[in-house]
Amino acid sequence: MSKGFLIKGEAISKTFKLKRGWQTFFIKALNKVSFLLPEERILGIAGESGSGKSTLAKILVGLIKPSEGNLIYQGNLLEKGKIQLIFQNPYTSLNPKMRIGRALKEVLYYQGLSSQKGELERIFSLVELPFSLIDRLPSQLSGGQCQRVAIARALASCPSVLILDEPTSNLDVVVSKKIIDNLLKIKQTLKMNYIFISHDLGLLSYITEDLLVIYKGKVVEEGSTPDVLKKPLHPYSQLLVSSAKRDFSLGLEEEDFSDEGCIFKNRCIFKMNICQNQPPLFLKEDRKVACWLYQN
Amino acid sequence: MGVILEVKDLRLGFSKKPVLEGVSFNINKGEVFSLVGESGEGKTLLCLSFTKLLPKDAYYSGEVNFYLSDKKINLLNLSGEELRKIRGTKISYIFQESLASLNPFLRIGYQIDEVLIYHKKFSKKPAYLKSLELLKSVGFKNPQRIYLSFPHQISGGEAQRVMIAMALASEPCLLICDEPTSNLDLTVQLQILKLLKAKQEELGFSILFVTHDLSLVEKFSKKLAILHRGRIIEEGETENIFRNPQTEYTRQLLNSVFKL
Amino acid sequence: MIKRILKNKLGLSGLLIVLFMSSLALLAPFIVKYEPISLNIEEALLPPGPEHLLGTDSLGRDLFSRIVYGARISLSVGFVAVGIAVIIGIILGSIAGFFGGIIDAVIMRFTDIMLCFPSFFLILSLVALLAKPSIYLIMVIIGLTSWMGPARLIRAEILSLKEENFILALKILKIPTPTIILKHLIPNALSPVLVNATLGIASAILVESSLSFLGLGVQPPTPSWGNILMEAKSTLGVAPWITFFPGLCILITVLGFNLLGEAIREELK
Repeated sequence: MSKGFLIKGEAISKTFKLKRGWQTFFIKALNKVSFLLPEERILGIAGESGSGKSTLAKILVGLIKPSEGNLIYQGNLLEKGKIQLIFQNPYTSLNPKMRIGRALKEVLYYQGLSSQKGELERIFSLVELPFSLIDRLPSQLSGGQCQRVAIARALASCPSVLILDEPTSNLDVVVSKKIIDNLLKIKQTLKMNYIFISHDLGLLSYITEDLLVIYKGKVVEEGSTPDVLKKPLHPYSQLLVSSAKRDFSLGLEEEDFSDEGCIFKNRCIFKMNICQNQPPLFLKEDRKVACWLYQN
Repeated sequence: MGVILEVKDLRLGFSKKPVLEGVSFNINKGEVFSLVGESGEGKTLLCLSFTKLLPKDAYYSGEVNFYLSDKKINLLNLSGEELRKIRGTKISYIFQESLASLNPFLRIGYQIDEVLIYHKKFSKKPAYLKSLELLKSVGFKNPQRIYLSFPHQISGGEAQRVMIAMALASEPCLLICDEPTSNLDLTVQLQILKLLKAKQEELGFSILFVTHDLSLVEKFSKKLAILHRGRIIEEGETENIFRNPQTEYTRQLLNSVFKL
Repeated sequence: MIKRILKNKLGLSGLLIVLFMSSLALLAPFIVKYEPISLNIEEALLPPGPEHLLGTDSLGRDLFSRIVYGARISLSVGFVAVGIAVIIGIILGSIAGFFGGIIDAVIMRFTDIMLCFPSFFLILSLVALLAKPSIYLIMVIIGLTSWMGPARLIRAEILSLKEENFILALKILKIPTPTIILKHLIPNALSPVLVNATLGIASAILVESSLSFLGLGVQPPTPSWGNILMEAKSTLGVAPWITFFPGLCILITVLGFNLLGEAIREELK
């Protein structure tokens, strides 16, 4: 594959400073995360809450600057606003007092594009929204419709990359599937590139081609989606997959956070002595796994 | 295997619009029964109607018969004292927002004690010991720490386990779970479900599991009912429905679930 | 929102009072029989009657027309002064809230300093310094001493709105900052200011009446509720109606705005 890449992240780290009274806490949200978004492939990032995935999303669109590491974009993607973000909660991502038609026109205007009715109709039909909704307020729309509006608004700026942070977690199952299928169609029509961030492994297996599994700010496994989900190597990936499959045969375990060594060691059933040291990413077949079990 | 809950032609709604238009289903003793429906369908209202926790301007009709030691009690006809005897003792609830169900100003242990003191007539010290025991039984390796914690000091998953402990404190016959895992992470969801299943098998109570997530239901409950537009459109053994959906909506629902 | 206020009885009364007084003020020239400043010594100190609805004052001027014209003064001072205060407050508050850091610190310290002055005495001093200023200057002075409330309210709203997803989305969409502040942040931050402004009008009316009563506001013969009260002091025993009616108007109008403001606050909760 000699296709170019759209975004490349090298050892991205982000530490937040939190002040509680007179104490200052440092929270390491991301710890040396590296990834590649190749052209025309959909990248998935699997992580639960606390994994740092939302922080990563915000760093990718330029809302937050990484504390360490390099972010390389193809061309002027970031400066021109060609990389957009779709949030989890559709209602809070729209101005509650602005009619959706006006919100779209605003984006078109500042992109220097025509905001004629024809253009609006084109965007509405892209996201499969009836044009009659154009004068509604977000509160007058359903969750699914709001999310489509958010996608429409992002598309109005003609992006090359759309990052979707749990785009359907707050939506009903039937509506979610329709929106995801819609996104697939849009990919074909507009040659769009996606990064999907979700904890829904089923969704990730349906739509993504490459997968990154993140736990507490570290990449624990990366590879092609079908490989990772069919045969997860890292113990955390295995836990995620059995949770997604609703596999009741695993035992109960309790959380415990520790900074040193492998970040998963306190929950890991395969824990060994060497896990006191942080494992690097080992190469195994087509994949990378951050686990001492796969040491060469 | 007798019936423990019999819902007959339940109609619910507000003056402006009806929400449930004739819902009927039965739950047997010791059975896990799932009610699946999308958001806004009235699942929560349905649960609340059993113990008359509905908002003031809601209307209701029909029968909700609860079978308690061979006595048939229509829950919708109960009032005050009788209702209080059942609500929180024989029928317990677990809600979606576990952290919101806890009093933010009281230590968690004290809140579990409360259930034991008021409903089971425990005195202080026995209540404290029993609370610790309950916390241990829901999987906390350090029940003392949780007992002394405040709600904001624990995670969502831990809070839900606390809710299960509180619900089980009163030794209910029927546990109603309204979307208990919807706000939780994937791995935590599995934890909670396993806990519920384990407790159910150990103590033998019935569960009414209300959710919009079909994937949860497949391995968790034997019986299933699908709620759509205010009616039960399909009901039966989970396996059968998954293999052989009878209605268009059910087929659409099954097709929309992303399978791994 | 207006519909819901109409349902609340107190809010409805407040709204009706405000509308009534406003119409009186607007339609003044059409509803009075006599000019407010035309003297007629022969008809001085007449009690309310068919000819003079509310009676006459010591110079024979029709009290009804003086009160109606006085309403014009009071209400225009109320609206304009609060308008000035709100505009200044929005500008300072949104700049402080959006940019934060040292800009916020400087603006907020300035606001704190202004708040240290008891506003009425500040107004009194300014007015006395300027030796019988025009009514427009009075509006400006009241406005310049009451912008602090709206400023803090807007700043607080913007501080919390700044982190909302829809604002972040606009930043990612490269919508220019002034547009974000003017078209998105401020419209969503106005609700608490609306309450503050409505109550502020009541307060401004009281300030103007007090100034005029003390002889420092609107000067006779131009009628203002406050200066009618001032002139009525000497004839309180003989002609109590000259004191009663302007006082009643001030009471009802201030009450009206307060009720309306409270109803809006309840609504927004």
